[in-house]
Amino acid sequence: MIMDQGFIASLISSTLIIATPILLVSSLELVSQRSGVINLGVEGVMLLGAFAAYIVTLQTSEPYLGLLAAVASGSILSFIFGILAIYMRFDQIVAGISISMFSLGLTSYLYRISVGYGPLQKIVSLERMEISIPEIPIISEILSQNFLTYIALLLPLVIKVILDRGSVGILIKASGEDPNRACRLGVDVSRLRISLLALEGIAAGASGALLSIGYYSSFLENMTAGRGYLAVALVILSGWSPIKLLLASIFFSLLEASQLRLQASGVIEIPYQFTLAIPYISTLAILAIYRKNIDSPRSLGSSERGC
Amino acid sequence: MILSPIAVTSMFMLISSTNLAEALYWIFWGGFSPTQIPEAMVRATPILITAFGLVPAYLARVWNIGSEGQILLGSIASAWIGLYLGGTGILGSLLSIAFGGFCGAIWALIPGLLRAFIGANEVFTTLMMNYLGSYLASYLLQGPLRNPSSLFPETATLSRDLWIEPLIPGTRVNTPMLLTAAIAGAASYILVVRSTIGVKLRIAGEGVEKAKYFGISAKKVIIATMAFSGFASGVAGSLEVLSIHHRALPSISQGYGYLAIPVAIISSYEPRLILPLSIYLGGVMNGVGILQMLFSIPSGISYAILGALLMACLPMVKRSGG
Repeated sequence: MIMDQGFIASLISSTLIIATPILLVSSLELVSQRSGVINLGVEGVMLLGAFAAYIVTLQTSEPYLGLLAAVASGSILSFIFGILAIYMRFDQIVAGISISMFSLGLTSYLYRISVGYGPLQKIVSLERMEISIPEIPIISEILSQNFLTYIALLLPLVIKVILDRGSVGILIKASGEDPNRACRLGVDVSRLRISLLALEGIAAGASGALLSIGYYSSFLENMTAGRGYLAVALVILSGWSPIKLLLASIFFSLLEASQLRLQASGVIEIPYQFTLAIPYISTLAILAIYRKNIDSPRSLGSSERGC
Repeated sequence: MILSPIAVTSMFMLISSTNLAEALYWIFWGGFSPTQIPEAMVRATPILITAFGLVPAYLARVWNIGSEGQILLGSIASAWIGLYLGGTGILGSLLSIAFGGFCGAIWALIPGLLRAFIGANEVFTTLMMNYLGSYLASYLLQGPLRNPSSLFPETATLSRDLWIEPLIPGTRVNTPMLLTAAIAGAASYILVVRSTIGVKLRIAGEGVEKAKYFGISAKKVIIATMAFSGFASGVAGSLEVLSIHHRALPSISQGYGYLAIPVAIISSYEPRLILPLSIYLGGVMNGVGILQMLFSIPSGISYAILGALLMACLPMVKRSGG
């Protein structure tokens, strides 16, 4: 295999393509977890976002309207999870899984109802930005990404600044570490957490939309295929640090991109089921090596809400 | 909880503008009319066996939700050894069931050991194991174990010698089905209400510290309950192979592993409900299945029902402290 410049450029480009939806979700999941809520419903939120974006774009041929629909529906579903997990104090993990499972059923049902069993209906997709630097075509290829990729790459940095410097960051960390004390200091812990979840729903909805109307120009049943769960696991792996999260997400995407290359090249015969299972295998591997330690927000996953 | 499958179906029927009254009529017809009762029981059996296996785990607050994968791999293991054994009669059938259970237990032990020694959340890991299991099954059934002369990804048909024959000709009701119903019903009652094991499991569920105080090793409880639930799921998968399909196929567990979760959660509080609940859910799912065929309703509806059932059980799910 020749490692020429074109090969490297396309490898970097596809790494970014794989990393974007994961980063969008995991950055905001990190914030939610810092505030004390672990949200496994993101898998379902992404899926709903993917479907909403697809169906609206199919009807209107306006991908940005589709993106808007994804963001709105995603934030609503994430809010519903918040009601279950925060206000009704149910177990966060099981609540998240039930949301994801319901969303899996709902989206594939609605998809079949609205589109039927005919051939895939392609739609107008979100355009990539065209950035061209005529002197160095490789750079142009790498830089010509969807605008969401740039947002996704910036998000962890923005979040790091907010968590480390901003006063909101202190409130978020306080409610994740010790909701009782945060509450006595005048923070409405429940409201803070559910607002962050709604925000996470926006990101997860956009991330799903990117998959359906950005990459595939269509919808597939369970098209998120474990990326939401992987995002949650990556947050745990990163030790709740946004910069490490950025690196970890890029690392995993690079692994997946190289694996896809390897498969396409035909050097090694890899069953396609293995490729599909990668997000699940990675998630399991991360959970298998992680031990609870000092970095984890102390009230993560508990239904304490202070005062 | 009881009505959530019907609520979801009604909601979905309204979305798709199918006649709601007619749809509900078919669900009840499919579930509970005399001609359909045997089919409802066929569907209730794997739910019952799996739920029975889950009860001790749930008593100890070990939330294994990976039964779906354990059933699937148990069924494949059972079919694989069944094909290997050929016609060896009742002994072969028993061996095949035991091996199916064994492989189900192995699949459950992976997340079990991760929980016991690393503290990995078993709800999360067992869910991942379900997905891994379905991909592994798909690989095995399309690759090494595939029957080359079949159009579908499935194994070859087992020797007729190993089949469990129906008790009443024309239906699919058989002896092990009725036997397991009796055993699982009685054993869950004894386990939850009348045994010291039940008490010990509950103490273990209160957290590592409390368990230690009573001289119970929480690790052992986690490993044992996970293995037991995996074994039961594997047996449920084997019985599906030997008595219903006579081969392994990817769709062998029609959500039974997920349906068993609400049954087991409720039964760990009130074990007398394990039979009626299994039969009820088996019946409703049979009805939904008939509905799907009659009105060509997309299959997504069953996942939505499973999600809603899980949601309805949330008030009863309490995590242990440790």
